[in-house]
Amino acid sequence: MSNPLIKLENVTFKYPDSEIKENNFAVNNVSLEINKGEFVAILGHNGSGKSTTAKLINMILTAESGKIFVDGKDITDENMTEDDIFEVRKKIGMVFQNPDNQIVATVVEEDVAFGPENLGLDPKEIRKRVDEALELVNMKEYARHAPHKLSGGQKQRIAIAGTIAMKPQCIIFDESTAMLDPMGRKDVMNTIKRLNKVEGIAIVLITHYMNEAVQADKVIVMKNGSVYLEGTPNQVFSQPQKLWNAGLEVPQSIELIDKLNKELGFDIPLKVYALDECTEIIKNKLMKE
Amino acid sequence: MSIVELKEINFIYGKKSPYEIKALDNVNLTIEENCITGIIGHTGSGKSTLVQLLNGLIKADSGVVYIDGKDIWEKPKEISRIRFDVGMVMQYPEYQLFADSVKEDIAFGPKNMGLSDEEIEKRILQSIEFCGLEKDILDKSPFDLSGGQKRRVALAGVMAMNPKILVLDEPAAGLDPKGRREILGGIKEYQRKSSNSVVIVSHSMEDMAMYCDRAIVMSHARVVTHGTCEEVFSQHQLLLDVGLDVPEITGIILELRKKGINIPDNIYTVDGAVTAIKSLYLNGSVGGGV
Repeated sequence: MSNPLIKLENVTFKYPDSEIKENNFAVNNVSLEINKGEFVAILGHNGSGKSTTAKLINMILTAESGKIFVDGKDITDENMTEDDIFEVRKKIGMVFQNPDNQIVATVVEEDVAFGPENLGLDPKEIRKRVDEALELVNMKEYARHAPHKLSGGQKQRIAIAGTIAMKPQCIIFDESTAMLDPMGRKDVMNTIKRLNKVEGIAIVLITHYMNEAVQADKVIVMKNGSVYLEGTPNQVFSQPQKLWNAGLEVPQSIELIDKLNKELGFDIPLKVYALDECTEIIKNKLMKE
Repeated sequence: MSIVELKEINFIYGKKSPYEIKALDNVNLTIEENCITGIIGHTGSGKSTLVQLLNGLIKADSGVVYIDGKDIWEKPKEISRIRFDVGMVMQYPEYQLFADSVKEDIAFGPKNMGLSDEEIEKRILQSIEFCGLEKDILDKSPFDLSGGQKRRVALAGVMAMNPKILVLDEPAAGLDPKGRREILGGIKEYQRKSSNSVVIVSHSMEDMAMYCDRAIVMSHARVVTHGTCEEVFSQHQLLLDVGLDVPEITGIILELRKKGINIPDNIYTVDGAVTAIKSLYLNGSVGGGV
């Protein structure tokens, strides 16, 4: 097994200027690993440290103590130069909650080209990357449209294309589906899964939607600045009580099974079920087979 | 009884420009009083335009808006008075906080209504209770609070005006599940205790199913269906056709029906599903084709 792409060792961070956060670590002794090509979901209540962790990874914030490695390089090293930081941000792309805060140009393809242009790439290479990126997010026919006239889901996919065009090894999505309607969310989730499965880009998905998290390889639950639970979706979502304690919830299918187990004495294992699987089990119970 | 009536409303953005967009297309609608009504629809369906009509932030190109039986544009110069009757909480209202203390911020609306200090005090205490805030927050600066607390303070400021209709645009957006439950639960409690009408715009089908009494579905500038939550959420195909979804639990129930289980199709909460499955299991009348 090669080195993890991202590794945090006992990382701690405190916001300096906030009264209410005195003695209150936004990120407290967090250790975690994200492997190349892995799809990791991070869950947690508001203020649990999810976004702060993401910002530490691509150096928007600097850890107070602990070590962070990106692709083997210690980014908490004091001797990091501007060029080194640039390298880290090339490797770790980030897509935020509101695409309007991330889109800079008035034409879609110019916006997507913004990142690669800043990498100082050859114009031919930029053209190629922009076309590929728009193709990947299924927005090619909008290349010459104005971003502000697109729907939320479409705008978010443009923001993603802008990140992909820099060819990162990992993309962090910080609640990137929170503002979208159900269709927009599905579009963006499909794009994320394609980037992961087909392009092999590692994904860190920060979300409040449990049904998005169940699609990941690994789920990390944060609570009050620390890692509270970690495992496969099955391992994590089989503990509804713990998730409720962390201010979260479980997918409705698991909540249903948990309640049926308790009220009717069923013994259906708590795990992530596909729709067909879940209904088949309930049907069999009802048929008393 | 209805509290809001919209008659033949048309609203066009960018009129007579090449970018003309019809945001509301001949909308006729009533909103019932003393309950929570959810407005759902995909992005760009006309939801936000619709709610902005209710307190006269925008004026329809044609058609009439009646609040409590009165045409709100009867005397255009007095339109601002309607905003005491129709309180509006925009998306991300925490960005609208401005005062030095939470107390002053919440008092701003009631003060502008010309209420007595005593009455204002009473309303502040009531509204922070609905929003799940403690008294000791009143002297703090709103800018020292967490995002979730700021949201509640902003909400309390509008509740303190005790409007006949409280309109909220995505009140739980960006909050974690516990925060969502607390804020939506508080809104429900406010509605039940005040008997005022509440209108919530949201994308979350699960939340709407859980907290609303009635629902309005919008698509492409029109109201495609409205009624009690039960009536609306049972029209699964229609919801899917207009780019929405049914709650996850409803999807499970529908799949069970497809498999020949004789379970009612109007279930949209987990507790409803548990009750229905329990009754099937205990009565043994599973029915169906298998």
